[in-house]
Amino acid sequence: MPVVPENIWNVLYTVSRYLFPLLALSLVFLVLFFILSESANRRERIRGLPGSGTVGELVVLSGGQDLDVNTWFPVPREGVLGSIRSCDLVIPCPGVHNKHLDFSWQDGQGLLIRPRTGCEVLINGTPVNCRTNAAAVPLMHGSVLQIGSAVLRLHLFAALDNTAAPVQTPPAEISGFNGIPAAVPNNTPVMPAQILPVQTPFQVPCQAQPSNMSEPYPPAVDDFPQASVGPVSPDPDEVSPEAQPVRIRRSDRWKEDLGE
Amino acid sequence: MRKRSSGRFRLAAMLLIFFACAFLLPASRTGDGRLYLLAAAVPAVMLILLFFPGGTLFLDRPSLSAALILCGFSILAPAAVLPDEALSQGMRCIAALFFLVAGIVLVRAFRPSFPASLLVAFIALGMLSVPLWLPSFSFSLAEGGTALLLFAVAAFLSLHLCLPALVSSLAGLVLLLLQHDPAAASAWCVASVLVFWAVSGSALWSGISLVASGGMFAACLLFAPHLIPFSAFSSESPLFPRLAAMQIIPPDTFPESAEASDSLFFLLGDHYGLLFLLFALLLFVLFLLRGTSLALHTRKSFHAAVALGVVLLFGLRALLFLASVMNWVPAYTVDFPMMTASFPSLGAQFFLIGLLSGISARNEADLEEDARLAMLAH
Repeated sequence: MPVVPENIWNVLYTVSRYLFPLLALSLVFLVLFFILSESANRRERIRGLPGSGTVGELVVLSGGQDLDVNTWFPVPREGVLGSIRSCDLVIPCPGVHNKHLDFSWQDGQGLLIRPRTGCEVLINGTPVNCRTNAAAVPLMHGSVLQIGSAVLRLHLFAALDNTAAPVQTPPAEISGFNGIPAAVPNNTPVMPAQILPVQTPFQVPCQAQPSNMSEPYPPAVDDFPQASVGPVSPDPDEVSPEAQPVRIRRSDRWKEDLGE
Repeated sequence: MRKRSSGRFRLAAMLLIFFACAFLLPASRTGDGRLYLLAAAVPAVMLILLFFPGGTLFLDRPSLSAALILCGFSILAPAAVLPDEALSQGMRCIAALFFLVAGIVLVRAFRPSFPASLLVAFIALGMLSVPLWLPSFSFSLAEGGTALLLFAVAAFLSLHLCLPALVSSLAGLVLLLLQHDPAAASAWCVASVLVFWAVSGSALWSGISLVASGGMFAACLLFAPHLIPFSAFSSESPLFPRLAAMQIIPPDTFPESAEASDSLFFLLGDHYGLLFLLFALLLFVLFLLRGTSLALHTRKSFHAAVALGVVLLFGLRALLFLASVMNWVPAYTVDFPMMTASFPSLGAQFFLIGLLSGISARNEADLEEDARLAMLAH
C-alpha cells in the first residue's frame, strides 16, 4: 500500500487539524438543511391537502346558545372531546364534561367512541357509556352524536373509502338524558345517512361524437322545436351564498371565547 | 424533484469527502490496508443507505444520516492508533443495521392490542431479567429489553390501559436496579414518567407513576443501597485528562490519580479536538430534533408515544454521559449514543432508530392516503 513521506504527511496532518472540524461543521449544516428541506416539503404537501390529518368533521345540528348551528369541527384520527380548551374537540355546552370521551378512528369500522367514567353520550339514539363496547356502536358517515345539549352529525372524508361498512340511520327523534333537556335540531332536519358515490379518478366522460369525423352533422336549427328562451337557470355549482347554509369554523369563535 | 433531492446529494458528497479523507490520512502514513478498506467501505455503506430506494425499507433519511455520521465517527475514533479496533467497530455497525430493519418491521406491523402488548412486555422483562437467573451470560440485553419495554408501555398507554403500563414500567425499573445499573434505571424512570404524562393525559396517573418511580429509588437508597453504587464516584472527573490530551488545558492542572476514560467519544476528541466533539454533539441534537418532529407529526398516540420515548431515551443517555463526564452521577458505564463499542448497545440503539424510521414511513403513508382520498373526493 502507498505510504506518503513523513514531511508531506506532517503538512497534511497540520492542515487536517483545521480541515476536519471545518468539514464536520459543514456536515452539521448539510444535515440541518436536509432536515429543514424535508420538513418544508412535508409542509408544502400538507398545504395542498387542507383536510390532511382529519378523518371527517362534526357539524353542529343543535347546540343551544353555546354553539351555532352549522359550526363544524375537524375530527382528527384520535383525540379527546370535552369542554375544556386542551381537548382536541371543544364542545362548550351544558352537560359536556371537561374530558367527556376519547375517540379513535379504526379503518373499516368507523369512529370509535369511548366515554370516560361517569360520562354518557347518545349515538343515533343509543346510549353509550364507559362500559359499552366501543366497537359495537361506531360513529359512521351521517351518524348523529348527542353529547350534553349538543347534537352533532359526523361527515366522514374516509367514508369515500369505507362505503362497504353498514351505515346507520339516525332516529327521527332524539331524547335527552342525564337530566339535560333534549336538544332537537332546530331548522335542520335529520336526514338519513347516504353513501357517497365513489368515482373512479380516471373516469373520463365519453365524447358524444367520434373525434375522427371529418364533418360532424350539424342539426338544422329550424328542424327542431326550440325551447322557449327564459331566464337561465343557475349552475348548481354557482349557487348564491345566501342560498347555501353558512358554515362556521369553530376557530372563528376563539376571539369571542377568550373574551368570555 | 431536483430541488427535493439536492440536499441529499450535497450531504452524500460531503460524507464521501469527509470519511474518505479521514481514513486516508492515517492510512497514507502507515500504509495499512485495513484503513484503505475502511476509507472505501464506510462512505460506500453510508451512500447505499442514503440512496436506498425509499419505499423498500422505509428509511427516514434525515435521522438515519445523522445517526450514520455519528457511527462513522465511532469507527474513525480508533482508526489512527487501533486499526483492528476500527475494523471491528465497523463490523459491529454493519451487523447492528439488521436491528434497524427489525425496528422498522416491528413498528409497521404492530397493531396495539392487549395480548400483543402483554407479549412484548413479557419478552422485554424476560430480556431484562436474564442477568439475574443466568449470571454467566455476558451478552447484555438491558438496552434491548428497555427498548422493547418502551414499545410495550407505549402500546398499553395508547389502549388507555394505564395500570398494565405502570406495572410494566415499574417492573422494568426494578430489574434495571437489580442489575446494578442506576444510570439505565434513572434514564428509563424519567423517560417512562414523561411518556406517561404526555400520552395518558391524566394528572392522576402521571402523578402515580412519578410517585411510584421516585418511591422505588428512595426504597433502594434506604433498604438496598448496594444497588446504587455511589462508590463508583471517582475522586476526580475524567474530563481533565481528556482536556489535557486535547491540549485545551496544561497537563499539570489535574491530579495524576485521575484516569482517562476509554470512551470512543473522547478518543475522537483526542484526535480531532474539542471543536469536533462540539459538532458531533450538535449533530446529535439535530437527530433528537428530527425525532421530536416525527413524534409531533404522527396521527396515532401509539406512534407518538414510541417516537417520544425513543427521543427521551437517547437524550437522557447523552445527558447521563455528559453528567458522568463531569462526575455529577456515578454512571461510568454509559457511553455516548451511537458511539459505543458494545454491540448489544449499538444493536438496541439501531433498533430504536428503526422504530423512528418506521414511524416516519407511517407518517408518509398517511399523507399519501390523504392525497388519495382528496383525489377521490374531487
